[in-house]
Amino acid sequence: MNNKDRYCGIILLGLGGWIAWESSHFPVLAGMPYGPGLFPTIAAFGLSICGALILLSSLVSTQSVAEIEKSPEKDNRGQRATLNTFGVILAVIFYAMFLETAGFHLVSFLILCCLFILLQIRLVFSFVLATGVTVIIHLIFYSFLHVPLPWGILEPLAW
Amino acid sequence: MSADVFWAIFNLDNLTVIFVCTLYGTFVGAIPGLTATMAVALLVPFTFYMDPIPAISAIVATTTTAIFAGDISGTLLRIPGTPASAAYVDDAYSLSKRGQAKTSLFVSLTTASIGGVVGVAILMLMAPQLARVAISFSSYESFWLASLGLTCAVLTGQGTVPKSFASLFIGLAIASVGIDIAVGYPRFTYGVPDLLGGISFIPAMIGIFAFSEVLRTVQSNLDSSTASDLIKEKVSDASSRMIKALSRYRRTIARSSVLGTLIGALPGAGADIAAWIAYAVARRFSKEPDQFGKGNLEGVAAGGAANNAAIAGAWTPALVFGIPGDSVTAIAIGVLLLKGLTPGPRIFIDQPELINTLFGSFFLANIIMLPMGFLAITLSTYILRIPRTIMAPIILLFSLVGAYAISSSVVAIWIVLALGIVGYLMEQNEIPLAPAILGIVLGRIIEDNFMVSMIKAQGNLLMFFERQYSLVLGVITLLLWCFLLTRMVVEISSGRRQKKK
Repeated sequence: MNNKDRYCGIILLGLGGWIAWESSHFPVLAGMPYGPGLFPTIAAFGLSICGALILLSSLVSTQSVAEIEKSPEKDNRGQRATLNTFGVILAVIFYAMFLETAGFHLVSFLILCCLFILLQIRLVFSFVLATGVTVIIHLIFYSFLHVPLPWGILEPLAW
Repeated sequence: MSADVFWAIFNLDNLTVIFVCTLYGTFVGAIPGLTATMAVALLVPFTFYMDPIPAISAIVATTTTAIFAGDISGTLLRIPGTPASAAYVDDAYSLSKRGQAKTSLFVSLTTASIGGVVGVAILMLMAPQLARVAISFSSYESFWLASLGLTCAVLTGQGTVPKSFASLFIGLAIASVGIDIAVGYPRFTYGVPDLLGGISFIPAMIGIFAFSEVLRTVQSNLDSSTASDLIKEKVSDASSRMIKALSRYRRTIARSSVLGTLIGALPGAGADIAAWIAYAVARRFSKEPDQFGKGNLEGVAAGGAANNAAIAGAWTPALVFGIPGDSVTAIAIGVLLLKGLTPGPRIFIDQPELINTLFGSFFLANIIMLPMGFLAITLSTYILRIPRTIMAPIILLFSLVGAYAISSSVVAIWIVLALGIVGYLMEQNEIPLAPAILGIVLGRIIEDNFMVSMIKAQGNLLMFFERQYSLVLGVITLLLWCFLLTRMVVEISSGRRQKKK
């Protein structure tokens, strides 16, 4: 156990408290002391108790984050990893926000290109791969499975 | 086997699905870091467009082959392709360094197939007998059984007790989103109509398994390794060594297959735990225990047989009680529910052809795995050369489109993102995922049965122990809770003792 557990315990405690507070506003069954809020409240109490226990364990154990050795190489790899993580998360947010307006083909091509480049694939190869994968997914989902993928601004080209 | 069942298994659609999924499972399982569960999660959107029988065949074929294929990268690169291969990776890699990579892979392939077949045979014998008992269950027994399933998931979870329980409560909290069954009140939906029916199962699984895997992949050291020098062994030499090993370790293989099936049947204890336990037991009974970890084929045979047998074992509670034995069967239950089929004892009476076809598909998948596995071993150096930097964005796009395909709504993509981050953070903090998955799947079942029981009992909790089976199940569950509480106290106090030292 270490400082990571300390934050984990606090987050679980907070999450449990929030679910319990929300659940307390749910109505109850007629003639019964409980209702739709009973189960979420049990889950909330469970989460809070687990959070408190994880926090307690981290307080009584020895290891701390300070003990983890650092090296410049690890720092560089860590920065790269953080950049890649945020890149992937931003790509998904972009995808969810623009899928229906800009269309599946454009958005898919764009996020694939960006992610390949972010992961240090050569530029030309990234374009070729992104185009190929977008076409394959179109064929599998749109042509074969008949999933209505949105065309967005490319609607005039839809078939 | 009736003619209908025979044709359902051997019709062209089903055979094509099994064939394609065997290839797919081999491909995904062989790539380090991509798990069998992730392979199944990505497959679910496709099963949505299939009939129930090919859908289940697809899941079975993918899982069995992906678990075996995990041995390929374990043997050649010392990176287990799936966690189920981790138990005997040192043995497999040591053999490969000695120039016996193909021997090791052939042994793990054939023992995986044997383990799978033994597992299905046990499943076929046990499941209908258990279903006969389970048919008399009321809401009380169903409640206790589901609670017992969740408790087993915590018990066998690979984390501390508080973290395993936290995972379970996260799953239950996620399951409580949507309209409640008692009064139809919308909970935690915040005006989003897509959430009224609850968190959609497919995006949730894709998020927790596939998206979180992508996040881990892009963070890891992405240098690709090659293993072309390690697999130059002649096929004929490897085959003769394999036959000798199968004959020499036949008892270990038989024992590990049975053990794997039984461990797999415990909710939450998947193929990886089965492999670890079978490996430890094989070492205990071995004539050369000191050779384990240094390139012993007996260890490879024990783990290889157990992890595939566990896959079949996990289907026993899933089919009989509707309680998943592992994450893959949790996904399979979700698929069956989406198709309007409720797993449980009634399925054995109402749809025996479905059950028999499932058993047949299981057999077939384990047999087709042999030629596919040989092909994969031959092509393995090529599969392992595909850089993960290319795979990660492609998997991400398949995940997003797969989730969107189910409901044609971007809410599914937001669910993938949110639960993917939750799953990723859980793993980063050593919170096991299995109890959360079981919580998501069983949350509604537990709540429904609990509310129905409470209304029937007018709030009297003693009614939960009035019936014979409910008393037994209730007492076992409560005893396990006491055991877990004791284990938790020991965990915390051992942490304190360490600090005093």
